[in-house]
Amino acid sequence: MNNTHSIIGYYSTPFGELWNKSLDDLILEAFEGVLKVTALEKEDIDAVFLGNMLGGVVDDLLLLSAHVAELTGLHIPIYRIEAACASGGLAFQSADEYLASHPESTVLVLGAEKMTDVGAREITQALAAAASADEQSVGLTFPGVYGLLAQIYLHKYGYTEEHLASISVKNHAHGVLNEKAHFRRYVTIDNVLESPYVAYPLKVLDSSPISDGAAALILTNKNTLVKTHASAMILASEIATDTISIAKRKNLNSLEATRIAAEKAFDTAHVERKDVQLMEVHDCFSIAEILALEDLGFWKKGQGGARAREMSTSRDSGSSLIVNTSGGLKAAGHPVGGTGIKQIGELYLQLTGQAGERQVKTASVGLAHNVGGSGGVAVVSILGV
Amino acid sequence: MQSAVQVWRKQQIDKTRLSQEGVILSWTEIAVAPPRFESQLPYTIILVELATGNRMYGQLVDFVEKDREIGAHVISVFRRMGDVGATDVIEYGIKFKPYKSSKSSR
Repeated sequence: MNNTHSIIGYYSTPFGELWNKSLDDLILEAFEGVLKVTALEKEDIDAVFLGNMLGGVVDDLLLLSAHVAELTGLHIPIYRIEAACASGGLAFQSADEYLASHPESTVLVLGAEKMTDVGAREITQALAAAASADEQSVGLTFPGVYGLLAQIYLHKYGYTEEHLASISVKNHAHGVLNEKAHFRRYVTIDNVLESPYVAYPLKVLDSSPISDGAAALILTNKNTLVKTHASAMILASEIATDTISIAKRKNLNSLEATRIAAEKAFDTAHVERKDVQLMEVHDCFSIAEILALEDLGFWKKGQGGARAREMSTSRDSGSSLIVNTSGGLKAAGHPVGGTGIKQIGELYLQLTGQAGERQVKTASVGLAHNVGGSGGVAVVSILGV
Repeated sequence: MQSAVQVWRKQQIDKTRLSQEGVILSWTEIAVAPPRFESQLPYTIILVELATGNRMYGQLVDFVEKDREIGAHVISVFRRMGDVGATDVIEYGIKFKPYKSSKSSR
């Protein structure tokens, strides 16, 4: 019996405003796409894990398991996982758990979101459903919660909006090389600073966009399939949780769920932080990437603003750690349920040398960090080749 | 809040939250809001640490720019919340206004 779980294939739709595609269309494209790139038949799949947040809110679609069954003609177990923006990451983590108890199995993990069927005010309301009742009842939006966290960070450590803006500049530069990205253009610090506020001090260009998109992975513990496919091993995939309200947390300058999930993941994976060359972290807002690098244990608490300003994790920095080669949520786009899968998919492509124009040199360990809400759920996964 | 019964339930708690003094831990100014709060844009939300040690969110009202900063003192007041929704219920609840605490030098 093989105790190693491997990723053997990845497919993603383009991310962006895909007005000609419904949620079902996106799911089906990702499903068929990943089977095609792995040359597998749907009969080879033992279970499906689907990450989706807003189907029930935006498109009035629930019981997505049956949607997938109808689209694919399958009768196998299909699990829909919802953890707001961490729906994809948690679907992946759940699939990894499934493989641990199902030897000789192959599962398909899919994350999909359709967000542009409604306007900005409606999607703001829908995303606010991932905030607590107390937060929603006073008119606090999801960007507003991160705005509160950003203010605390800037105030405590003496940084400015310019430090935050550096994250977006870097991720947009990375996104230019990603043919599936929502935005493939450079932005400057001034572009970011001149963009309108969403929730002070966060501006449009500090924020990930509203995107449609779907992404899918094939995971297996079958040796025969691993041997015949470009594969990356799942060294760890761990989840941690925290209060839904930031008001109930002891520390307001970090996300505890990220910290705990990272500790567990590094313990399980038996690798150290210095071994990680590539990361896809959850930059739903610029401040979130700074908090992530600190809470994952790569930057000392309070140094993140300065490190961000130096662009120390840019692919052009010559650094041994590059963050968000996909363009991150900011530039690649953030189809909520799809994001966690895209993060893992990006690492898979990079680790197996299939990342094309944006391929980085010699990476053997990568980490993905996916956050739900304002840190109520965090999933940290580590892959290796 | 949508239904009358949800508003009623929340007011059982809000009753105990009136005239509470606190300090601003953080603030943000909302520029894009859900439909129910759109008519109030832009509005400021603060995270407050009350004298009791509990924390609350609320809108900051009746303020000038210098009152809106981390560490400033506020007190909770009873105000009308968002616009009426489909249920036509007018919701009242807690907001905050600047307050010169007897204990503060401000």
